[in-house]
Amino acid sequence: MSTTERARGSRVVWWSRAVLGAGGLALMGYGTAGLLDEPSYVDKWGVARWLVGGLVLHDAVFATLVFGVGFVVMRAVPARGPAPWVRRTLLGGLAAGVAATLITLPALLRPLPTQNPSVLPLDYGRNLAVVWGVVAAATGIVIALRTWRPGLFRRDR
Amino acid sequence: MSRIRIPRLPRAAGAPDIPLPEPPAALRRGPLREGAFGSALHDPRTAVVVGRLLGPAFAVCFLTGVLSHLMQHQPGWLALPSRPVWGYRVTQGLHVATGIAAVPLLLVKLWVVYPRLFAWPPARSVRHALERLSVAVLVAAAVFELAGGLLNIVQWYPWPFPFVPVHYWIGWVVTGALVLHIAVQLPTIVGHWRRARGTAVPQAVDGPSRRGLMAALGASVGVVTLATVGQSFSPLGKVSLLAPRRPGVGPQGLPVNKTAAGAGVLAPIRDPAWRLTVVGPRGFSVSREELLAMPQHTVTLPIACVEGWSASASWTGVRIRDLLERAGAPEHATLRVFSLERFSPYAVMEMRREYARDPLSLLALSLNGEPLAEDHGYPARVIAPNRPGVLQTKWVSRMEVVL
Repeated sequence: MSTTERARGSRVVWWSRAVLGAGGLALMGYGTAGLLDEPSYVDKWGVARWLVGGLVLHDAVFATLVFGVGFVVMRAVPARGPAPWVRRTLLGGLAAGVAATLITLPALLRPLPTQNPSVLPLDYGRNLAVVWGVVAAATGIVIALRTWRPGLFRRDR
Repeated sequence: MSRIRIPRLPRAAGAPDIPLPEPPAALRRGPLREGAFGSALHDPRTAVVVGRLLGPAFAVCFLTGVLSHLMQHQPGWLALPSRPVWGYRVTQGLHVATGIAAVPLLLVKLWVVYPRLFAWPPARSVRHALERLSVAVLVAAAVFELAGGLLNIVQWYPWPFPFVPVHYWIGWVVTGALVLHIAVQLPTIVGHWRRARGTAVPQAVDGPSRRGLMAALGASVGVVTLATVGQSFSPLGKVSLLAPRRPGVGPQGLPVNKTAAGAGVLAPIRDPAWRLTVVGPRGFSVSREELLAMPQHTVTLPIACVEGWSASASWTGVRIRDLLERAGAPEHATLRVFSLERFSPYAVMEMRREYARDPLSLLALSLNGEPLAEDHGYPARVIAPNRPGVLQTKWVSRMEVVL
């Protein structure tokens, strides 16, 4: 019997699930009712479109790109190219760079100028390039250290 | 490389459920094929390990968000303290920093569970279908809150609805959906909370490791946090290359949320006939010179915006409680403050006694030793401890003692 099966049979877990489930549904209901009651919220479908749009953007576009890039990086020239751990380290660095890019997209794409010079005062394109440079350098250092000392970062074996 | 095992969904004992027919196997193509996703890290243990970081992150965002809502729309039954002076600054800095850190956390969590989107059959039963629908609500609301927040902190609103109430209410929806998700997945969470005992499976030396995934996740969270947190944590201001604000950038070295031009107040604030009117039992009206002739006090207080940025500054002006005394206001009175700004939900602000009587609460006339810049609220503005920036009313023209 797995730990999950055992947990499913436990009375404590059963009651916790009942309470959490009811509480979660109540919170969702409160939020939905509050939104529909909101006087300043006129375009009832606007929020629904943005909610579904975000879901589709992740599940159909972003995730497809991520899995596509992962597949290509891991499977391209399997016999000759770099070892799998090097490829995974590269993917890790890529993830950090992509995270930084995603949080900067609003600053990069926002129509300028803002009315307020203290909003977005920096050169975000240049700064993002600096962040990518730092991430690339750190990734390179990790790969170099692990090549030099193969046991490094592998305590979980 | 092990196949992903999709664990059977929890089944509450005795609860009724209606099975659904399985679609024709010919439809099981592409990502729906068995074993279409290779990595061993799409497993319940990894989902739990990432989820117990993401869950608290959303809890912090929810609690700090509700706190800000209560401070901006203070209900009558709730007395709020004016201390600690940095209360709003820290909680709202945390709100935005945690939301930014939640971006890589959410994306990695979704990466881990993504193969389950293609579970076969798509719905075994009505309950299974409802469970999957609740996950769709959770993901849609979570993406919506994080993306909406990121656009708000650059003051960009490309949608057809007001940001603040929608972000607030969807915050309740996402929190509810998360609590429901924890209820549905509780047996899996309990079963995988600890590393499985006695299963030191010798992985291939080159195989994917959970530790490697967590290292990449940690690096991503570290990068996005360092790159932005300086907008509220001033010592890192120069490190935060991607922050929408930089402490020290703005008129008189302080950022501004709304400029005088943007608020449409340039003409009235430049009018030499400007006077402050205080309405109360012994109401009075004073010019800026007369305010400067009253006892002046200097305080160091942060201006802290719900958008996460904040900066400390030195403010000089008249204590609000001195103005209340002069107007003959009773000890318990609430103060209502009017701005010259007209078309804003924050044009009228109320200040209860905890704030109005605090010795640090000023009607400020100077900032960092110079007369207030127009963008900072010239001729006079409110500055009080532990208050949302939008309630630090600028371009004040009138105060009313509310009895």
